[in-house]
Amino acid sequence: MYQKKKKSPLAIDVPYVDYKNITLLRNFTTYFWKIKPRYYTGTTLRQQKMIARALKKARFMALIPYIRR
Amino acid sequence: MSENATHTAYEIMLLFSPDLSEDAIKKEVESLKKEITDASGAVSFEDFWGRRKLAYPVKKYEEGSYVVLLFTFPSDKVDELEQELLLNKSVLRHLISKTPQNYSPVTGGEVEASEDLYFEELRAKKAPKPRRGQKNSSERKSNEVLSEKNEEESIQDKKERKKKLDAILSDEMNL
Repeated sequence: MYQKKKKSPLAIDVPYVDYKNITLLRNFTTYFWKIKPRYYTGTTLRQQKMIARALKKARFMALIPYIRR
Repeated sequence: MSENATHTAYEIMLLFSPDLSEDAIKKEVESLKKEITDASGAVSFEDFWGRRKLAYPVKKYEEGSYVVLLFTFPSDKVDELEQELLLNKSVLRHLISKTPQNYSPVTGGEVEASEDLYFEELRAKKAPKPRRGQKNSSERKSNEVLSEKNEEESIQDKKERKKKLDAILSDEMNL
């Protein structure tokens, strides 16, 4: 059985995912702050790349941890 | 190209060590702004987030104060800016990034408040799963609307029935 395609939680035309939106980005990380794969969340490839970039920027600026202690 | 390379819109986020007081941070930021304006740039937005606990210790500090600036700057001279920031001992981390067109800046407090909108949308999409036989949400909605209408009609019917029963009962009593 094929799994139904999930609809992406973000709007398709999202122009920019800000790395300061921590509560938005939290929805795309696991409990341990690891980046969730795309087949879990149902985002498009473009969105996933923006989210990953924003998460890595936020990790660098110590807004979110690299790994949960 | 001509004298000025094209000005691009940048956003910089700075992490200052907690040893500095707010006044010292403001002085540093103003000196940064002077360098930007000397190189024919323009600062359009600034936001002091204040002190905040860091997610992990940075250079043995557990707290730091954040500052965000939006400015336009010639693209040639960004490297010089970065080198000055690297040499500055009070700046622990800095991040220069390009902003997209029509980027409306958001303050730290607004960012945290506006995220509730995203949260609510996500909660609505985590709504209870559709029952069997109802694949599309549109079908589900139409069924719900019809059921509401049926309920309303049934309530009216019930009232009419009650009236009829009362009338009959009263007639019976008279009889």
